[in-house]
Amino acid sequence: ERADRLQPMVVESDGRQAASVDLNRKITVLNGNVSITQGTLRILAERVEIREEAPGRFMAQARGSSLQPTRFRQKRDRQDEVVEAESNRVEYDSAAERVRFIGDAKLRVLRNGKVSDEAHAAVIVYDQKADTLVFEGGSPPAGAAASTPANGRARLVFVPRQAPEGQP
Amino acid sequence: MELHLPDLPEVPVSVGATAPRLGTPRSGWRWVSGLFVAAWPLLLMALLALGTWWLVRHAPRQPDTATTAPVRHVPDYRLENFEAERFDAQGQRVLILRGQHLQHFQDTQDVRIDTLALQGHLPDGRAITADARQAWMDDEGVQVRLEGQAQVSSRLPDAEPIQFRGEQLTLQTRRHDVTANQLAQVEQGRSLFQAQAMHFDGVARVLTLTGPARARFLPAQARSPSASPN
Repeated sequence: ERADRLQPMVVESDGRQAASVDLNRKITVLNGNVSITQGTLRILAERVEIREEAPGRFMAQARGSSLQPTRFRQKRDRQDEVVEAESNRVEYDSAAERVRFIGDAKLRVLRNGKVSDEAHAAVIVYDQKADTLVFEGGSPPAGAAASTPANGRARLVFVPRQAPEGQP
Repeated sequence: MELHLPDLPEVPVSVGATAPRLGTPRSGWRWVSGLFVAAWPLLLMALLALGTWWLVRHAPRQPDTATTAPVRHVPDYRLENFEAERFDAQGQRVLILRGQHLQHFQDTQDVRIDTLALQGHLPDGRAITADARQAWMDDEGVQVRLEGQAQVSSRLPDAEPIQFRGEQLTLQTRRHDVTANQLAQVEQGRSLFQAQAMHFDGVARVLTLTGPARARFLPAQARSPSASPN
């Protein structure tokens, strides 16, 4: 949801390995069953690095393990719509509201709990502000309004349905 | 009668009725009294030495105060509402201590302070403040264990201060290291960290969180919740 970006970003680890915070360079590294939670957004990974690029602007980089890719889940502003994804790495820029799924990225959109769209690509960029998905190298979901330019960079645009009354 | 022995020197020897022969009572007594007269100073010295030895053996022994009195853990001096300052070798003031009660314990050379307020400065500009309900310090004021709503603030010139909070924090005043062996919180700007145990390297400015750790980052556009991390 768009309101997620106004929430605190909470990162937790199970503590099997020590976490390290460089308070001069503002870099935090947590290892071992790490979770990132911000409103309805949730990322699970083996290793997470958080950088404060500017006061209040946080960039998260999550990495899966050889056994388990990173897992992403976030509710969308539409009724009962959820985005789920898995990939080797995730880069999340909370200020720009952009998530990049890098390496064997798989993304699903669920409506009322059922998968309505699914895609697999080398890199998938989910722009929450523009509500678009960009696929690089790989197959965009069937039936989606997508154009595939020569460089293999597919671009899929979600066509927003009529927003119900009273919702901005 | 003269007796000439060829290989011995000529010594006049008188043999005969006038020489007193041993074994008669009168000559024995004269020999003993002669011996006594010759040896009485020696006897007297021996007697005196014996007497001195007897005296030393039986004289009452001086009680050895060092071992007999067990050193008890009681303060040997106290201060009330005090302020103390410590300077380094170059005369720079490096530590200011204020507190309500101070007790110094001779047996452990520890200092206990109630309601401590501490300020520390290092030549490179680093500054630290600390306060707690109670503090234990070694004699040189290098290791300070803070107990009871302990707070430490460590700052570098033109950098955001780093705030430490916990029930027990240990401060190393020469490096400005901070250690916690129980739940503690560290806050810097819009980031808040919490863990079961942690160590802050005051020189490298690196915080290590041990055990399950939790970090909360507040985006610029987010409202600022209260200090509590949930």
